[in-house]
Amino acid sequence: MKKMRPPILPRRLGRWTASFGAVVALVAGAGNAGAARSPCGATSNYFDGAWALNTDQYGASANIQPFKPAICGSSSFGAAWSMESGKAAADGWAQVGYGNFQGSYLVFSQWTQSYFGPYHTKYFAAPSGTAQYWVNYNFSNGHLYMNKGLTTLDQTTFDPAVSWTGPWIPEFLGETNHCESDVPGVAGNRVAYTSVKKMARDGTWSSISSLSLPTPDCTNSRYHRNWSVQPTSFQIYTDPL
Amino acid sequence: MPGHLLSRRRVVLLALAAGAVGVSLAIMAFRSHTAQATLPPPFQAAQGALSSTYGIEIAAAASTRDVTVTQQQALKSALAQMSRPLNALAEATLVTVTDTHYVNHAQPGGAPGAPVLANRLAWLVLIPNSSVPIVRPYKPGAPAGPGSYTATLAVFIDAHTGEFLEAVSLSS
Repeated sequence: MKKMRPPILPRRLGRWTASFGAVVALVAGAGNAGAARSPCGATSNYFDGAWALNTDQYGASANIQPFKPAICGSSSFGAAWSMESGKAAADGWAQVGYGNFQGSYLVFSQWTQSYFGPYHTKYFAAPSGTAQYWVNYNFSNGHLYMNKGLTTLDQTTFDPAVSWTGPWIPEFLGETNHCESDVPGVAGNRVAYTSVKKMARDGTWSSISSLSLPTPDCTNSRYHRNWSVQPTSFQIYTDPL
Repeated sequence: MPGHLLSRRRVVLLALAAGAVGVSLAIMAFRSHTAQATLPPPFQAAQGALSSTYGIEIAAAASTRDVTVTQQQALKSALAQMSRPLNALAEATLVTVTDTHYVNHAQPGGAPGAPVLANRLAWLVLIPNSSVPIVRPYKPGAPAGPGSYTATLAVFIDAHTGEFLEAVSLSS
């Protein structure tokens, strides 16, 4: 480990200490998390939200309200995101959203060429408000871009048009890896996905008429979803906590 | 030869010698200032993966001037940010970082703008053997897979403010 002399600059140190304190406060639990169930049960992937099969498109976009979901343990997560996924079982995905990952509330992107990895994940500071999370195919370089608002967070290094089966699947979901953890949103403060759209080959965006809300996972029936304005807006939430 | 001429020649020679010494010292100082600092070995290994996978370019910081966040503070901040125990194995070094994939746009789908992180002076903290969640797609009938993968987390902490900039996973 490289050793450095600590700088002797009390004024700046004080400013930094304040920043560090803010970070610790954020990590320590500020946010919307309620009480998840405990202990965590079987690990898998559990979903609550919307997707569309067999629609020709090259991008997926939704505005997603922020919410820090409670999780059942330090190995768990609860997240909300937009995604493009290949159609074949072995195809990978590119997604962007936010989540409570093992206790850290962060914006994230994740992509992989194959369902079996390797996986590539980026984390950024926690979301501060409703934001557009969107993935688009760049016809110039053949990469999928993962974006939040007017900022690209990451891009794939492979071309899914070469390696995935089409048509790709646009997905907009809440997800956990334990049924005892919460998807974002509670009955009194449901997480809204609005302006749900797909991108056509010519780069224009439009609503997805075939967007559907599959039955949420988990036999304990805690995850729920409902249309606000079909097919462009829906809500997800956990109830009972 | 007159004595004053000898004296003048001596003065000229002395001035030339002093000038040569001065120029040498200046060159040495310049070389010292611009010398490419070297990343410690674990960070050299990360450097290639950061570039090829994420478009993140790092270089050892040539100067610690203006750094107000200590190495220990950066380590603690990175571990706390990623919800890791504060005594977890981790190491940090000072770098300049440019993330060519993390860019602002003037409008949706518009031409790429400037990188959000461009030559930013930051602490790069490596946290090995970290469990990273796999946030899989909704794909009924897809084979079951692991819920997480093991990776080294590369966490960037602003060396001036202590701000968490970003973190990425480097697969083992």
